[in-house]
Amino acid sequence: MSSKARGLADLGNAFDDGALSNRNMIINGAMQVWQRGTSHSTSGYGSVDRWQQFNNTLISRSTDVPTNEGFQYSSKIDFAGSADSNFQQPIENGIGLTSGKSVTLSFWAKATGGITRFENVFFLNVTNFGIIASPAVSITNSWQRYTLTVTVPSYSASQYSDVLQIRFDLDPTESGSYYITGVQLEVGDTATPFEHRSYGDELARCQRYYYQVSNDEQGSAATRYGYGHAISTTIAKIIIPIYARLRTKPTISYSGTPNLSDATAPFAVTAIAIETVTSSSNTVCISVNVASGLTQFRNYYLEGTNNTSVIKIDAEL
Amino acid sequence: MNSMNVTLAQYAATTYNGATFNDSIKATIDGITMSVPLDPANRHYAEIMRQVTAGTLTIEAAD
Repeated sequence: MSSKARGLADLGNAFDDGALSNRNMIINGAMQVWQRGTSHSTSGYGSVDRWQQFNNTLISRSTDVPTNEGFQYSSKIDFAGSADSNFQQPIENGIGLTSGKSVTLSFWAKATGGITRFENVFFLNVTNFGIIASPAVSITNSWQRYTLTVTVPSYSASQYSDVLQIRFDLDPTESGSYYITGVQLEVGDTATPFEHRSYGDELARCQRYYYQVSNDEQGSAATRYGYGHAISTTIAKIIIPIYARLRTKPTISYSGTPNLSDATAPFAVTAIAIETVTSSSNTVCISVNVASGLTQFRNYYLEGTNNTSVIKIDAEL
Repeated sequence: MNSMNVTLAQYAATTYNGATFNDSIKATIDGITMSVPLDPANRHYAEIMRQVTAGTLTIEAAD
C-alpha cells in the first residue's frame, strides 16, 4: 500500500474509532453527571443534568448499559401511560443548524414492560423551523443503537437565534420503562461512534446551565460557600464563586439549613435572593436574610451545616 | 403542555447606591421557592412574564 493510501486508511480507522472530537452537540449524552440527585419524579429538571422530563413517573440513574461500549450509566424512564410524555434536552442557540444540511441523532436504548416504541423523536426549533422532524422509532428489549438523519429546512433569517430541542415522546397507550444513553447529535448524515468525554469535561459543560454548592464531600462538617458583608442587622450580601460562565443570570433556591457566620457565632439563614443588579453570567451575588444579630459592614461567610444544605444556581434553558 | 406551575410571584426590593428598587421576584414554581432575576434570558423570568401577559398571573408588590 502506498504511503498516501496508508494515510487515508489510517484516517478512516481513526474516524471509525471515534477519534474526531467535539462532534456531539448533546451535553451529558452518556448520562454521567447527576448534580441534583440520582432520581426525580417532578416536572422539568431534577436529576440527570441537562435533561428535562414531563409526565413520566420517575427518572433514575441506572447501571444497565450496553455491553462493552464504555458507558457507566443510563437514564431509566418509568412511564405509566399519559399524554405528552417527554424526555428532552434543549441545545443552546441551535448550534450547527444550517438550511439544507443534515444532522444525525444516534442513541442507545432498550425497553422493558409494555414499551415498544417512541411515538416521536422530535427535532424542534420553535422560533425558526418549528418541527424539523418527528419520526417514530421502534425499540426492543435489548440494547441497540438507533440512528436518525434529518435535513434542516430552508430558512432565511438567523439560524443561530433559537434553541434546538431533541425530545423523546412515548406512545401514551403504552406503559413500562426504557433505558437510554449514548445520545449524540452531530452535523452531517453519518452517525460516528459515540464521543466519550471525561467526567470533568462533561461536568464543566453542565455547569454553564446548573451549578450547586453543597456539603457532599464533607458530610456533617461545615463547608464555606461564599463570602461577603452585612448591610444591616438582618441582611448580608454574599458572593458565591462559580467555575463556568453561566448562560444567563441564574435563579437561586436552596435547601437545608445554611448559616451565616463571622467565625464567632452562626446565624440561621431564613431567605436567599439573587441580586439582579450586582450579578452577571460570571458573578453570582446573593442577598441572605437572617432573623437578627448581624453587625453592619462586618464580613460574613455562608456555610453549609450538613450535607443537606445546598445552594442551587439555575441558568438552564 | 410543559409550562411551569407558578403559584406565587412577588417582587423583592434591594438597596443599591442609596436607591431602593425591585430587583428580583420571589416565586413558587412547581412547588419550590425560588428567587428569579429580572432577566429576560432567564427561563423562570420569561415564563412568569408570559403568564403575566396572558393574564393568568399577577406579581405582587414588594413588602
